[in-house]
Amino acid sequence: MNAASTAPFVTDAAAVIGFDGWIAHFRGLQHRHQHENQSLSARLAEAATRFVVAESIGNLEPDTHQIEDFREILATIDRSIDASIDTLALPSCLQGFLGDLTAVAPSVSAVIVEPAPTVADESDSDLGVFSADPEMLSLFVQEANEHLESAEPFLLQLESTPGDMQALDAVFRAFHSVKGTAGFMQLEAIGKVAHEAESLLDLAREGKVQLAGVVMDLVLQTLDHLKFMIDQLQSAPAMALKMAPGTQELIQRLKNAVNGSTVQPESAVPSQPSTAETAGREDAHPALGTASASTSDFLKVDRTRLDQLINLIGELVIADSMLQSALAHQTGEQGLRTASHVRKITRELQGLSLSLRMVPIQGLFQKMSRLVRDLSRKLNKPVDLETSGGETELDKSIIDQVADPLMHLLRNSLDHGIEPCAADRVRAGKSERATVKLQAYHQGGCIYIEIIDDGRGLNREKIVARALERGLIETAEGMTPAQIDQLIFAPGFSTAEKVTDVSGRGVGMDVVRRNIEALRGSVDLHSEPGQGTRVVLRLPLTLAIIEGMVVRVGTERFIIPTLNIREQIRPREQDLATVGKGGQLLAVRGQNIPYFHLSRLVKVNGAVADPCGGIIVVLDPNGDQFGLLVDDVLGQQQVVIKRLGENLEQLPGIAGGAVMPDGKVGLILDVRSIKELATREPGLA
Amino acid sequence: MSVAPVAPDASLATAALGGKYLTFRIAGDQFGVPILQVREIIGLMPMTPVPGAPDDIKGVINLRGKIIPVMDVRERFHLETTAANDRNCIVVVELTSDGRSVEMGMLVDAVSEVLNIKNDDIAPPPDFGMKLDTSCLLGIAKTGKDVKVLLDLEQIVFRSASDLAAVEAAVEA
Repeated sequence: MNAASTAPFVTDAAAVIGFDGWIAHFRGLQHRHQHENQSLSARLAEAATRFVVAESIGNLEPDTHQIEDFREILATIDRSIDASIDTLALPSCLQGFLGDLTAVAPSVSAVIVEPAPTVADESDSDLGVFSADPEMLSLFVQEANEHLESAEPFLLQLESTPGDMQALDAVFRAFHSVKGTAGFMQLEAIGKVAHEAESLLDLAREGKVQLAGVVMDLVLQTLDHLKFMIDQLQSAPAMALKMAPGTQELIQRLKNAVNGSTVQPESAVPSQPSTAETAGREDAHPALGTASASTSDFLKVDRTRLDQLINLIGELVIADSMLQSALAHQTGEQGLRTASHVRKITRELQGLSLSLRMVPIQGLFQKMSRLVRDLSRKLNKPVDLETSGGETELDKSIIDQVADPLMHLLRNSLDHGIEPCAADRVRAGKSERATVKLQAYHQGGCIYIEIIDDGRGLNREKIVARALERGLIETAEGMTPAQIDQLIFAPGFSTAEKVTDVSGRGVGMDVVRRNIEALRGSVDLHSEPGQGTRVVLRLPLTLAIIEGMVVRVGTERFIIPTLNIREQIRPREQDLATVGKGGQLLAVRGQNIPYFHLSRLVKVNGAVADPCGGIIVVLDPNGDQFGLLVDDVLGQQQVVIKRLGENLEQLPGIAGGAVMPDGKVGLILDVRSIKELATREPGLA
Repeated sequence: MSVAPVAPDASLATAALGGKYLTFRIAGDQFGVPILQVREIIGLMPMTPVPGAPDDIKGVINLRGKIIPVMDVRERFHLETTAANDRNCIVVVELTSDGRSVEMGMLVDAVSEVLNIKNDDIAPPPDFGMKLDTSCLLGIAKTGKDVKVLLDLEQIVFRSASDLAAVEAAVEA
């Protein structure tokens, strides 16, 4: 029993997590105690659970006396967590308290999903709270979510092309399947919501209801609510006990929508449920069969196992190249042929292992379509979202982490970019409906995601005014439009006149840029006044691998991420200059850029001292150029990034390590912080 | 069960320290670490020095695809260097903290043996007063004529110990 962690939970539970979470917690407590054969504590937890359940569904209006008792029981539970349970005395009120609860028992069990045991039977602590086979439950959750997710794009499609029967059928099928399986699993609340939505969709199929405006909003809300309820099933299984907040209201609104639009509400509605109900149960499996056919080709795999596999394959590749170089000198033709065969298989295996984590970006785009749709209604700006390149594949963890920045950028586009009223657009010679394009494509080992709107573009005057006001710049004189645009990435910059819940919370583009850079990507922005804005995100294909330039300094090798490298120069005497004490400059096509000796930054002995004897690698993190003097550039290579381990995290200048083909570890330079290191101690370089 | 005599650190005093220890030699002194924390013993391999790392971290190595730091315990304990020979090796230890396992290599001159040390034979690290910190020691074990310094790897690996000069003094005592 994890006593320490549960104790504060009990006392603070009501305030922090509300009743639903509380019930789940007590259920857990109860199970754990039962397992340890702590019957007393289990009974305490049971009493508390019952009380909370009865109270939260409104079957129990506790009087002060009962609340006092409940407090004492909670206090006992708290003590039982702190002390050995066996030494505790049963609170005297427990018996009476349970007796009181028995009075509300029938109604408690009425909302319980499974046929509940009689509450009077106290030795049987199974409250009858939803306790389906966890495997079945997780299967249900997965399937239902797939159905609902598949319905969403069709709904959005229906909004742009009303009357698309195929899309409508697909949406209907999704709700129907959810209803069917929910019925099968005896999840009545979910079944009910899905059923009402299905009735409404059925009317839409008959042409009696137009799926647009408020009706569409309602259907989408229902979709969200169902997702929420289904998620709750896993996070707090006790939720199945009762309707989630707002469920009843939603059902009522769905009913109203059905009634309000039907010619004969009396006959249409009641007949609907009875047929659909039975049909739903019988159809459950066939419906599932067809709908899940498209997803059955996927297999869910534990993330850590996948990482282990990828790691091992990485090792195999290294071992293979060591073996190859060892064999090269001494094996006969047969041996060489086998070796090259092994090599081929290893390479293929490596390619495959890297693709395991890749998923198409389509799912993310779908979420964004929904966001744009909701925002456009909220802001009352008609916007069409066009997406392309959804099939582009990206590392799953990058997709997860790029969602927030992308959402922020789209919000910005809609809130600031698109003209507030359509008349302005017409006056500017644009169509009334604004267009936002979201495209992804693959180029040169990177993934690009572009967000293009045809709004009014960045307001540079306002940006300059704001930057001056914030003290970000002293004067805008001599700044190019592009440089002005860059100002919006400065921390704390926000041009929104008022803080809205759409965008403009002061954490704006700087956070977007930081998040993208944390993924080792970059953000680029182009804006044309009156024409629109284009934001380009450049992201690596995967977080695990980088393309790196291997350089030598003295006896050591380092890897510089190719993404940051602009060029390599073998300097000539006349291009070099010294400024003051220690400041060194290299002239590149008329421009003077500072450079540093890498050997001095990383404290390596035996490196070349004369810049003319080495190579200067020109880097440009954040568009800010500087050079690093190295002895030699050994070549370009893909490496798998690894952490250096405890005590060696966050060292300035070092981003991580990689296993080199010879089995040794090579260090990957963090170009951004190595520059900090250099600028902080100019004497060093 | 008997309890080790009172040590400056109360949490160590109450812990039952008896059990199996892997003992090894560094600069002529014998040290021991709990065998359960030892993952494997590997031969010396080329290390990559890490700029900016603490002085006693000699570098990082590739342990079957995983990069782990290697500590020179000698450096940490201010012991003198001994000439390299083929018995030098790296003891890889593994510790868990917050559910995460941390691996680290320790350079040693030679591995001696696995010893079963009784709780009664372990004395708490002597109190050297304020000047010497003994927090990275589990205790001093007496086995026959030998004295073995038992290391508290948690303290060493997670770097909460400050001064390891205590060890030298303990060994001399």
